Amino acid sequence: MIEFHHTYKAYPNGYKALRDVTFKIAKGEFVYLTGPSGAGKTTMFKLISAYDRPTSGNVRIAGREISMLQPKELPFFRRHVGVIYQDFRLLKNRTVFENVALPLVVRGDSLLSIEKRVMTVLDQVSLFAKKDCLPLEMSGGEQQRVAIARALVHQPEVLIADEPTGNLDPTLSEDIISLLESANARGTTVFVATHDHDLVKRKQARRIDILQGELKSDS
Amino acid sequence: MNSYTLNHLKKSISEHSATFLATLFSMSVVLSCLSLLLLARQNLISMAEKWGQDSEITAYIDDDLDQKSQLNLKEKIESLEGVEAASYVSKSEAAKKFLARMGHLSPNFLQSDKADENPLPATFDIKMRADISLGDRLGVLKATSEKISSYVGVTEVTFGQGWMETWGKFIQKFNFATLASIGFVLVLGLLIIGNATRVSMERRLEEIEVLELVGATRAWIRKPFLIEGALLGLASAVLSLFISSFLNRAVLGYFSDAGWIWMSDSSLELSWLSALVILLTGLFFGLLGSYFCVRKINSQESVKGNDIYA
Repeated sequence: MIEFHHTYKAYPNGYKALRDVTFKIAKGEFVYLTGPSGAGKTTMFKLISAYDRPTSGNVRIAGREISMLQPKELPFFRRHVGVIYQDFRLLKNRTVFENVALPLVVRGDSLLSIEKRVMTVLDQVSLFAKKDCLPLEMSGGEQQRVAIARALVHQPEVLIADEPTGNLDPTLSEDIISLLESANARGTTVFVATHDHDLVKRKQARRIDILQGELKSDS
Repeated sequence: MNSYTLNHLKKSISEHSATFLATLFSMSVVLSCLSLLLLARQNLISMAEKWGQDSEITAYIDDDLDQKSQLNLKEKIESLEGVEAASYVSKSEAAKKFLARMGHLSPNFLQSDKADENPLPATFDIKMRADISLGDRLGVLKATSEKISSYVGVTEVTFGQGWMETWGKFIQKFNFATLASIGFVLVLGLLIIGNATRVSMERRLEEIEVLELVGATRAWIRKPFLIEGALLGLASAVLSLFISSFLNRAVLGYFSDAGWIWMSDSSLELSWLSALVILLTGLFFGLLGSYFCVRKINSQESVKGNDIYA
């Protein structure tokens, strides 16, 4: 599902963010990506969501080679990938319902099917009662659940989460990870970047560790 | 229009009402200038047409021309292309007309019945066809006059070429000035709408990034901005029609009160066609102004290189 093959990424200022990274994540896996700040986690996620291209080597996501994607194909490719950020990236002037519905509206789904699907996902993240709230009226943990609901609503094949618990306390972090595990249990491939080693240790999941752009371990 | 676009428009108006109103007002003023220019042009042409329709050629006839030659001359003139009718005005009829017009100011010799004391010549008053367009009218009048002046028995031909040429040149210059002003006004309109769209986009950078993130196409992201620009242009155009109509009535009222009846008589409201042109111009330039801004939205990179992962 996610495949890096001798992938290098260097920025115009000469900084080498990824060096000869090779790994595969199979469909339905739950994998943690760990490493300190500046290790290359975000660069890796940029490549997975096709916001950037590798300098050399290959990145294949859901059978698509990122380097070969035409600009016109990018929006359609991104519909296969759900992305969650540490800072939630919610639209502050839209309600929870509107935020979660966005991927379906963009895709052109009918109003009826949008309503049905959004209600189901809001129920899964226990935010059904808050569907008419604005994000700023909610706690950090609730906002992250909205972001997760938005990332899952269009049933993407891959879900990537960049430090999804970075701004949350340990209890809320556990809740968020549980939601991601539930999505994984429903068949979504989940790739979570975190520097919370304690959290990863507690989980029985595969862990890829990178340091200064190089793959250190894959266990 | 989908629910997202409707929401976008509602929020544009409610959350950025100051910018929205400022743009609406500026654009209305710009389009009002355009409406007033079109109205002034329409009135000038209307006056010229009114005067042009009344225009006649006057052919002065030799006093010695016998009746048979007069009839032949009448036939020849009426057979000319563009001429509707030629009516003979004898010396005595000319004197009567002059007397009727001038009254007691007329010289005494015109008031006597002696034909040899009447210095006024007999004439043919030649009426031109009404369907000759204003643009062609001067040329047709000139050509017809030249032909008539070459006929035997015709001493002089006049058709008021002086004022017609002056008026024609004035309309030409006004047309040129109108075109230049339209160009200027429309560039100004593009800048105003473009600026409003740019402000709207700047405020929505984060939203645009999120839309890209969830797989919105370039066209999908651009659409609400384009509709916003087009509607803003259209609303400004509607407002400008009210403003220009109000100003037009105020100006007409002023001239009527000042005794310039001829002007208030000939002045018109903006025609439906001109109003439609203003509405379409507002719509089109609203769309174009927004397009120049939103074309920067690129699906591969966020607007202005903003990095969604930053």
